[in-house]
Amino acid sequence: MKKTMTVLAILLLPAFVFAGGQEEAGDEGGGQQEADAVTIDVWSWRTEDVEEYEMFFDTFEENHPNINVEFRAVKNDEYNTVLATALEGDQGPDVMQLRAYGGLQRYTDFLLPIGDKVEGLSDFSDSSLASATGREDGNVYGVPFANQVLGVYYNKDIFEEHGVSEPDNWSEFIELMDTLEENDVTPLANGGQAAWMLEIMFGAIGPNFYGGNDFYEEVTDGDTTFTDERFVEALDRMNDLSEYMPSGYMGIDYATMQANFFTEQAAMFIGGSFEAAFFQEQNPDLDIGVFPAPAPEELDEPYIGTWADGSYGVNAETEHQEEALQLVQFMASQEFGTMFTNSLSQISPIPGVEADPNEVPVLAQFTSMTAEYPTTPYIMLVGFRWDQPTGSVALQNSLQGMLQGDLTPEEVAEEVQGQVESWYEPFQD
Amino acid sequence: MNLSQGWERIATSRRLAFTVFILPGTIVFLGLVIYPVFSSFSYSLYSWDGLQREAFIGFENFRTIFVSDKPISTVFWNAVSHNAYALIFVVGVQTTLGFVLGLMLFQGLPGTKFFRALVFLPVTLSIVVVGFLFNLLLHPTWGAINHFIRLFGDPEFSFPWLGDPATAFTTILIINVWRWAGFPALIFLSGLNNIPRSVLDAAELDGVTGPQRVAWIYLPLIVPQLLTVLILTITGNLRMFDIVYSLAGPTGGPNYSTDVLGTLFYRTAFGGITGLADKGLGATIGIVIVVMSAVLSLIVTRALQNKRVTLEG
Amino acid sequence: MRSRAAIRIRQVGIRKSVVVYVLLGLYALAILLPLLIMYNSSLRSTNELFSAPLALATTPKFENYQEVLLGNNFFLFLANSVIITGGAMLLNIGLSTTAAYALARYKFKVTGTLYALFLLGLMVPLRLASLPLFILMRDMGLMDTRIALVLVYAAWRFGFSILILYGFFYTLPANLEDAGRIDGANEFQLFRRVMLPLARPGLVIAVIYNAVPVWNDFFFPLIFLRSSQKSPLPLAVANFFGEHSVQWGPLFAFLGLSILPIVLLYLAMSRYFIRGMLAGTFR
Repeated sequence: MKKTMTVLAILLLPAFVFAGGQEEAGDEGGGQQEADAVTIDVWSWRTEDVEEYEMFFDTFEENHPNINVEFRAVKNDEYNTVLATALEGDQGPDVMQLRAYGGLQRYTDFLLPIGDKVEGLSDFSDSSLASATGREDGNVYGVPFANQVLGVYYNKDIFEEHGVSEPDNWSEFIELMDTLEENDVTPLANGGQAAWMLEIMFGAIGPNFYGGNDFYEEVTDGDTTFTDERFVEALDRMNDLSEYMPSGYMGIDYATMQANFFTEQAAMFIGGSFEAAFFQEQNPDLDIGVFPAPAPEELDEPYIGTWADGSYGVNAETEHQEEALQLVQFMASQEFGTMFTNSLSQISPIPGVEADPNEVPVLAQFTSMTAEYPTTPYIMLVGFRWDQPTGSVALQNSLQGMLQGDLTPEEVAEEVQGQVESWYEPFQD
Repeated sequence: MNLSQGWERIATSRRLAFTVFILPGTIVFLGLVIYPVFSSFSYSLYSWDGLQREAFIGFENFRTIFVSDKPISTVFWNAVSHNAYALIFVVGVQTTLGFVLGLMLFQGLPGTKFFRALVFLPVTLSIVVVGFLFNLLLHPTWGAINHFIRLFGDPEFSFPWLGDPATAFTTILIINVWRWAGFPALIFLSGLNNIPRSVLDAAELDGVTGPQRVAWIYLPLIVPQLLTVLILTITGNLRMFDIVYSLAGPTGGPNYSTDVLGTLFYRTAFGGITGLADKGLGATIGIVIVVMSAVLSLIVTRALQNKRVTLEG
Repeated sequence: MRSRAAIRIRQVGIRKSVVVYVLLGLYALAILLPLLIMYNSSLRSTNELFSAPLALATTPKFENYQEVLLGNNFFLFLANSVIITGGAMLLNIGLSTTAAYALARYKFKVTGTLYALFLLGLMVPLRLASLPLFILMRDMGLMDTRIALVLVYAAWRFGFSILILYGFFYTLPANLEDAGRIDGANEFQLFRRVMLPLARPGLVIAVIYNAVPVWNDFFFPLIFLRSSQKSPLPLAVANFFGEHSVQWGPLFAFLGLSILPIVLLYLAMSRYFIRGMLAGTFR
């Protein structure tokens, strides 16, 4: 027993030595801060973007020597649990990243209304601000940080090799995928194991078939339901895509569907602007473009699915309200928006900020798509996430059932309607 | 009376010594487990608007979960059916496999020590590792498992084990067996080792061998171990969460085909990514889990206690 | 040695031995293969993994390990894990050994009730209690400390330790106790000098059985810790996932390293662990 303990001690010794050294290093870094600096805690779910955010906040700290920003990223899956527990326990951060639309509502009691406290916030587009507005009181609680746009990525080299080009409408799209398939190329990289990606796929292609904003207005007003034949038609078209997905697509998770695309094993990827930088980073040689999800021939223009990703808000109970407001003010500035867009390759909602076309060319393409074609809300997130079970959860799970072949498009529509109806008041009349 | 005399009195009084032994642990346990858990159980008696407690509604949340036509009730019974299936599967497969492994190790063949240590190894692995590893092993095109099937059979074979609702849950349960079977094996082995030599010799003389020996001698004599295995399996089964969470996500996908009470509880109490938690319903499901574990454990204990064979008496 | 092995094989029967060996061998393969694939993959580049997922690492890429060990505060997180798990186990064992001993060796009216109460700890979903626990830790001034985790983990695993150790103390023969008393030992000397040494295999089992879930948990660190300086390894692994979801080479290396301490602990103690298990810890 003693010998074993000695072995273990020797194995673990370096851990303590290293740890000691690093903790000291950390303290030295902290010591350089102004003695009387106010510390602002910022929480976010973007574990991917820690370095970039720290860089943004360094810029802020340079101009605000009395403020020290502490950034903490918590895994996406657990972020809400951690944030809610901390807020309820009166230990919330000063500034926090907030989910958009329905996901924001549960937190409004803990948040400072900042609509009239942050300069320039009123210049944001209405659709951006809607994502950060309290449903009951109409107050704006956050500074939106990113917009997302849906579309179809394609591999230009593969297209060229097989003599195909961007499709103008749905039948050309199907034709093009048939051609690729005949040439032993997997047309779509997407799979079905990550349920939320199915909602993304539907968000890209669905609106063209259910009639975009008209249907959105009708269904949110309760004038029609999800069993509407237009919505069923959209589900049916989504169902058609399964034969162009990789073999065993129901077992393909998010990481592998992305890999399918950037390792050039599939020609197209139905996704959103949030993947643009990632693809480029993973394979810089990849020559990719993006086109709007194709509309049926009878429709003049395709709809582009969009939504606001979330916002940054201020804790109502913060001891440093003034400094926290200065920080979100900074996050509403063009300076921040430009840094944000260029280093994270996301679309900034801040008026006047545009993506540099040389940095991530596809991102600029996404932006110009929204200028060229009509946009439509990403339906379940924007309209039906106010209560459980959310429209998203209902749609995602039943889409899995449909792609598996267990549910028909009609059954998916009924399932979604049934679940949303259980809490959505306009449906209950 | 001086200090050392006082100590002497405590140290020689059985009652006082008992108190000194038991008190620290009891205080920590009551303060950090029983109090917080039961105070959060009270959430189940209220309706909640997000994080705000609204009105006292008695047992309305239980009614919603058990008998309402709300979606949560459908999902709840779906999860219960999966826990029931898992219980039958795990008790059947894992306990049997554990028993067979125990019997094989009981032979005491050379090299047994190595195998004995090995069977428990998967238990020590983190679920993050198990989840990531098996997700890849089961990948339709890249995974080792489909790869082996392609080697010996259809060269085009690629099956989404975790993506097909028909196979996903059973696949997860098999991984669960992979992870845990060594534990009952060691418990059974300890029971087999404790069977007195004389009993085994007598059986041999009477010509009781093979399957008969297993059924008549081994099984009745390891009932206490079986009881332990069953209780650990039942309570473990109802707490089943992390293996589903890491292999199939918080909604127990695809299409709820792997959803169990543990994942449903977590999602309902905390809301997952959308953050739309319902603390009342979440706590209600938590209580159901505890009550079911306790009741099932009690039933198993009662049922097996009568079958216990004692050699001492 | 060889002859003894041969004798045992003959006793069991050659044909039966072969069957047992084949089955045990297959089982061992099923356990080891996934791990071998993981460590093999940890020595390959991500691109290689995508193009030929199962090929051998013919030119081992140790850079994956270098990246993990040098770039990610690995040793800091390791030390945090050791401190948290080690502290929790010390506290847990300290509290549960004495309590289990008291329950098993003293018969008072409350013992049955207390034992049942402690076993309830095996059944409660502690995550549900995260808010009351959070408030408790806040009021004790323990937010963002590793002590908070040590306390919570020690309490969470208390019922499991009681279950294991109770069985050990219960089966110790009563005449040992009587002999001790006759020798003039008081209750505490009896515990420390006579009974505790005999329960040592039980302690090893309790430590290993409880250290595994404590070591691997990343939920409570998320709740109670705020500074990443104090994170344990699994939380770091989880974050690494978020940041490098498709850099599978380094990811495999990180995963492989993260399980190593606990696996080594088990292997180092396995002799005592198995001995304890076979002595009938769970019955």
